Amino acid sequence: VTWSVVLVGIVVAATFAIGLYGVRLARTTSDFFVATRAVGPIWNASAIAGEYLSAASFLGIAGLLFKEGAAVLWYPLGYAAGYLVLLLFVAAPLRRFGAYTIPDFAAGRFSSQALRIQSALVVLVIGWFYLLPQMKGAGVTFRLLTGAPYAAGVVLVGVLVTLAVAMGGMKGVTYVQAFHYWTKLLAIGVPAGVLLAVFGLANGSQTPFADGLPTFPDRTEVAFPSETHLEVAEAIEVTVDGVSETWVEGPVTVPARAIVVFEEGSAVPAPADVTVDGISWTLPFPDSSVWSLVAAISLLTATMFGTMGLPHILVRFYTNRDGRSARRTAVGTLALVGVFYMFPWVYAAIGRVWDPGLYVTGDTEVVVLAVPRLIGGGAGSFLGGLVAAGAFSAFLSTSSGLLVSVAGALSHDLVGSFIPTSPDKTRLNLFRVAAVLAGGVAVGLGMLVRPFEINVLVGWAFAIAASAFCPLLILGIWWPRLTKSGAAWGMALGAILSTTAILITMIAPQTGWVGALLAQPAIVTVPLAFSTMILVSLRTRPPRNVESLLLKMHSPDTAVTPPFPTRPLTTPVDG
Amino acid sequence: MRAIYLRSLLRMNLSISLLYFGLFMLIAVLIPVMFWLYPWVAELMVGPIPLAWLVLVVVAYPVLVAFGAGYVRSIEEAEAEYSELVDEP
Repeated sequence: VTWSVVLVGIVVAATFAIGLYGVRLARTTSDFFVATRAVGPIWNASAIAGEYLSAASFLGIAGLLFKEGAAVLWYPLGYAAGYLVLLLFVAAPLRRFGAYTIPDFAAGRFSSQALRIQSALVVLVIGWFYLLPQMKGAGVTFRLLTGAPYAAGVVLVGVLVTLAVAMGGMKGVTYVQAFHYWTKLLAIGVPAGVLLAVFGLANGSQTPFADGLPTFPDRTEVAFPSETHLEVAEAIEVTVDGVSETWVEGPVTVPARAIVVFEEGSAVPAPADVTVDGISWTLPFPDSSVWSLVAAISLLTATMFGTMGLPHILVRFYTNRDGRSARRTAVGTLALVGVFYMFPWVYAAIGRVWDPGLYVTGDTEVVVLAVPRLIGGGAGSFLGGLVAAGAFSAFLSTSSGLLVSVAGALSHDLVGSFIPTSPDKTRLNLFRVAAVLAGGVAVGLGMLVRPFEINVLVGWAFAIAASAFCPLLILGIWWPRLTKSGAAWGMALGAILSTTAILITMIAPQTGWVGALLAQPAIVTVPLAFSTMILVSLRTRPPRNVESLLLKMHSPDTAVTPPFPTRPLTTPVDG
Repeated sequence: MRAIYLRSLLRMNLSISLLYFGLFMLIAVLIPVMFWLYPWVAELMVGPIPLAWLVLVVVAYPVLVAFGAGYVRSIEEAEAEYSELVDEP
């Protein structure tokens, strides 16, 4: 715990130090919203990867992998592949267009203030949805480290991030994000390497991929903070609060605050929603039904096409010098994110063999934080502190990026639409008020999402982004015939249907294929939003004078075809 | 004049993007389908880890980067040719 406090403290202090340095540089409003000076592709890619790797990547992937097995491997793959799709269809054209947020793109491409407002509303939905899992991650991590209640971590990270954003805006955040990427890579990579060297994947005949149930590697004492329902698959001898018992096959209820001792070699019992059986854990599909295949492909669709629609990611492409460097930044981000995703599985696999006690209490989400401590001694405590620092780095970086986008949409796109010409100072104050408001909402909602898996919440934010913004960006960039009405209807339909499906899943989960589709709606809502945009556009009057806009997006950076202004169309203020 | 420029530009850029996208999607759909149809393939052990894990946690990422780098090369070559063509009086 001491190392955790020191290392988490260093990350927080460095965040504020670099952020404060940024404040001195942030002189104009455009500096504040987005770093105006161009940043090189390597810095930029580090910053994007730093902002992108959130609680879902740092804790969520390994945690869910530990709990449910290989079916979860589709998540990181889709998270990374999103950058390939972004590179192929969006990066360079959008940078050349000069829009730095999605509402700016919508407003500039269709000369419509109404579309700016509509897409700003969707930014709020995606941004807040994505903030929830970050808050949850902060809550569970802080609780594990200090024993403080869940709410304490949520409030702590919420307040820190809101302060940082209100003080520094985007400029302060840019270099902080790059620092956060390398912190996270170090914090997940080093302990993973040490764990593999110390433990290896197998313990005698027990390997993570063996058939049957995992077994306790030693006599293990497990404390149950709350009443827990377990499914016992194989009869075992246990000691409950000092009294020997036999648990036979079937359900067992463990009372709150019980201490249960499991013998070496006993098969691990677990709550019903945990996949402990070896074969199901090892295979990338939970069962052989066609719906598990559809769910996997739907998840890949959501994550691959959702990345481009994440409000905090696209902003960063604006800080590239031109289309060429935007492309290089996208490839760089793909590489950096990919390297990171090669590590989380180590924690899940080693946890399965060496720390199966986590299955029993259902604390699967903290496997990344718990497993390095198995090494024991000073080294174990240091590595445990390192992963804790990495987790905090993930909450801080992603939440601050999201908060800048949400506050920007609130102050610049929504309020700013009604008072268009206000002095710089008013705009800054408006942004600060919006940041505090947005942070407050995120903290409040963060208290409610504790029952949901971090990764599942993030997957939903991607599904909404894919359904609403991906069709807008792809058709807006590549199809001259897209009209204002087409864009508005498609975006509205995609956003409303996907959000509704997800809210139904959260409040009243369904079963069977209806349940699978409501929980992973992208495979239906993304094509539906695309076809709505196309059909409505074809039925409305073709837009005029879009050639120059599209030429600007698609002409090579060096080309001297029709002369265009080098300044972005829609930048609010220039210093 | 502008409309002609635009049409040729769009066609050139889109064909390169769609080529890379199509190839990638082919892999992105075929791999899940293969593991779903033939679970024994997913379970084949390659050293200490199953094939499905090797593909999804190690091999997939360099392949993604290779696709990205290949696209950047193709599109920049095409853009260079296009610029030369346009610049000629």
